Amino acid sequence: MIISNCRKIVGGTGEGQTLVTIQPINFLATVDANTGTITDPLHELYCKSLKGSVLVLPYAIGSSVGAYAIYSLKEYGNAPHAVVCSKADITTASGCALANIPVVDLPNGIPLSSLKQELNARVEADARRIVVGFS
Amino acid sequence: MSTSGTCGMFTFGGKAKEKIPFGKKEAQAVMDELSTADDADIITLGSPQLGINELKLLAKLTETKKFSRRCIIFCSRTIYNNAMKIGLAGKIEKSGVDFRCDSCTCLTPYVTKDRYNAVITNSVKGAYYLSKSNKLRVALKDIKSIAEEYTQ
Repeated sequence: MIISNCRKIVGGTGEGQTLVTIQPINFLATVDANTGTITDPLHELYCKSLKGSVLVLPYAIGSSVGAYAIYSLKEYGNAPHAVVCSKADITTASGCALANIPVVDLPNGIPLSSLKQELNARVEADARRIVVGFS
Repeated sequence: MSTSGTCGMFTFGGKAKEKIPFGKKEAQAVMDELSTADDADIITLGSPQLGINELKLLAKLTETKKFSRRCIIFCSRTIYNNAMKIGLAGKIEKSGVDFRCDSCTCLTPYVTKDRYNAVITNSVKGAYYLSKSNKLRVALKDIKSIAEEYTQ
């Protein structure tokens, strides 16, 4: 499956398995940069690692310091390889720009739920598309 | 509110695209949820950083008194300089308080798990991040209660 006409937020290409959540993420408060895992028991990705994934989320919430938390994830080698948002926010955009992680928004009308868990995916931000489900 | 949402600015009253009902009951529920300790060895005030009116209130509440445990105030350099000019900072410092300017309660290495198990704070935002990020237990109280309970 190819999802075209995405909105490019941060350029580049990143590949990994999809890690999908419909819940926003507070990168400062609920992600452990040392392990790359979500630490909030109330989050549906609790104990899941962002490392090497194509992280699919609606947007980030909380402190703008979350941008540095994303950069910390990269420094510790635990960052996602790419990020897909329904509507990227300033924290995700700036953090991923700092960390050189490609980011796209899904096109209007394409819900997050159209992407299933643990599928191979490649975000080609400059081409404004996501390639999903290849082997 | 910005901690649980992605909106950096809220307005009260007037026309709005989205309205969130929030009263005393909801505020108390948040306070109760974020309060995970009754007491602690350190007090931090600010986050968002304290403003001049809060410093005036604190000076009034702590006049001729001393804090019974370490107390750090986080405020901007501009506020601190203004408070210095009018003698307010000096008055508050007499109660044993330390000022930290242009620093964040949660992101500076002053209040860490290595040093403390719990922290007393007036900041709802601070309580959230001190608990979630710094893994500290938090006694969340307003400035008046803190001044009354921890000065003598």
